[in-house]
Amino acid sequence: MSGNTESHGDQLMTETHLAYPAIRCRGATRVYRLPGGEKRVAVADLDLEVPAGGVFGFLGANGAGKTTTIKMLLGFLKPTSGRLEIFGEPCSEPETRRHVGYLPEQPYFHPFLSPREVLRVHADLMGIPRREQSAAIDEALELTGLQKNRNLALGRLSKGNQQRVGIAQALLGSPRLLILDEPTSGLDPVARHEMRGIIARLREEGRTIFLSSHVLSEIDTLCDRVAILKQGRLAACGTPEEIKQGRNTVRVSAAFLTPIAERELQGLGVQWDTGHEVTIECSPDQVYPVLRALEKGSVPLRCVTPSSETLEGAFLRLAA
Amino acid sequence: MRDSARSLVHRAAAAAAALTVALAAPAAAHEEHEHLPHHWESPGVRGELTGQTGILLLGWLAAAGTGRLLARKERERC
Amino acid sequence: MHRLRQILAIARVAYLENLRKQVLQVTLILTIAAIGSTTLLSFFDVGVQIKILKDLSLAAILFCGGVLAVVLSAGNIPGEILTHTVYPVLARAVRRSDYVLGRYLGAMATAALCMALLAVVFLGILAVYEKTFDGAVALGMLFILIEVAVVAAIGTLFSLFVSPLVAGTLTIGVFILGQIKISFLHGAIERSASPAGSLLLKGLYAALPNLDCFSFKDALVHNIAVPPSYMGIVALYGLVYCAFVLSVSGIAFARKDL
Repeated sequence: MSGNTESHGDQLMTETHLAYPAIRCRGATRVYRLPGGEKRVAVADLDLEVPAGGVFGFLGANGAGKTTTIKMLLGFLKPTSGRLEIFGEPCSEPETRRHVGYLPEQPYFHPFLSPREVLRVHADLMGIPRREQSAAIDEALELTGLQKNRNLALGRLSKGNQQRVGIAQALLGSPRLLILDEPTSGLDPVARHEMRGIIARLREEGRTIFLSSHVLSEIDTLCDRVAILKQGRLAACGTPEEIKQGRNTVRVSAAFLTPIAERELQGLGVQWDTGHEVTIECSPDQVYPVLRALEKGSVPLRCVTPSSETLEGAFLRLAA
Repeated sequence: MRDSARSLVHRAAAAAAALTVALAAPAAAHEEHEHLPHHWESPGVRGELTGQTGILLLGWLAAAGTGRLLARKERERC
Repeated sequence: MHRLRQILAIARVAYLENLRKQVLQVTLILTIAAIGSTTLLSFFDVGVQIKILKDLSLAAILFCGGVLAVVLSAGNIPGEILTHTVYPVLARAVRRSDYVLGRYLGAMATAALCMALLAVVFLGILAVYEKTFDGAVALGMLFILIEVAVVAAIGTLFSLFVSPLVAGTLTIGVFILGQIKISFLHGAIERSASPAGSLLLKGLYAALPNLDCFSFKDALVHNIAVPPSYMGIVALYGLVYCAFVLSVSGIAFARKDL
């Protein structure tokens, strides 16, 4: 987002922000007391660091503790123990959220307000000077494709457009940290593509995006780093490639194997499965020797398919 | 929608008129008569209000102070 | 200044939301109808008719005020939590106490608008009979508004601890008992035979606000002068009461998990 002139205070905040990670959790724990005296641990001893700048993916199955963590970051809940900080400031302080934009999982706004009115309210809440509000609001509306519907009551907008209003208020005022909970939920494919473009652009501007999403393909494409929660604990944290452990294999499919081909393959030390077709799994550098072995045995080749563990596969392995 | 709103207003007016007539009978005896002291005439009430205002003022200051203290404790804990 | 703008932004949304509450609109219509219907009592002489008009209209306005206080306070903040509209607001750098104050001020703006409408109708009808503008009645209505403010503040505090239905019921209880505090409870304490009963009544007496002191209906009906100093004390009592209860509400909301 461009066009905002920074005050001296904003410049100092920029310098402060660069010195600290965008989000830091140290031993963050949240325990709920249920009726009957039972305790439920929603988040247990979470140590997490989100570096400033870039897109950070936050994954977990339902009930893993993602929403609880986000609520603690935004001050909606107090941690039972531990410490959470945004740019070095405690999350319990309202002022800490001055440079944070938040998109809830299902944004709820009063249905009688128009998108323009919602943004005006948030502009006042953020302390954007009156003389700058119109420009900031128009920019957010333009970015989210809401210019045409800016004066329609939210109750008359589609779910997708209501989601866009949520995104617009999160982007308002160019926050340094964006916490987006399921940002593409309810959006059509074109809008999803636009949203991914917005996130990519924000990353280029040096902003930090903390992205919680169940759409793993988006996480894989957009995120520089990913954390996976399982039952309130950190199961994995790293780049998407590190999470997937770089498991690359090649699958060679053939109609059948002749005795000559089987001898050659045994010599290479590769394994194969027989079913309705023969499937040989090998490493990338074994592909050509395997193909020569099959050619020697006059084996009809079906296909050669490279495969690597997807983020979904890694997620199921780590979080399910 | 307009018809139901209009009928709602008519029903409300009729109910209010009926209530007013029902209350009018005893209310008609609005003659000057001997009465107990009104609250603004009672020095006890005036004193009570003044005292309570003072207590509430102190309570307000105490609440403000407590709020700041709790916020500082929360900041230190987190 | 920034905090004030935040509070006013929250208040503006609350005000716009409250104007759309049907129960408010119906109560307003009923009250205006009740005030208007007093003009049907043309079988009394003018002097008595003016007194009846003032008595019944002020009673109706007080009843309306009670409904306003309960409706505008009991579900004010719990409603926001239930509909999740509180989250985008509190995700900003907004203090919880400022949020409570903003929602409360929005509710009071709605109450003030309703009272202003009732004042226009009432004073208009009165002017037809008295052939003059009755400033004392307008002042009397201002004190009803202060009473509404006190009850609404109490309702807001209740709503942070219990469900809206229970909060509303408790607020109605406070409104009713507060009306009879000086006139009835005081005497009941003196007449109470059992120490336990007396202690209970004394506790109730101490906890309840003096709502009957905001009522100058008898003075307005019978044209009795009220010392301005007393009115000043009552106004100050009301405002300080609101400030205290809202401070406690701010603390309660700050400690609440959302």
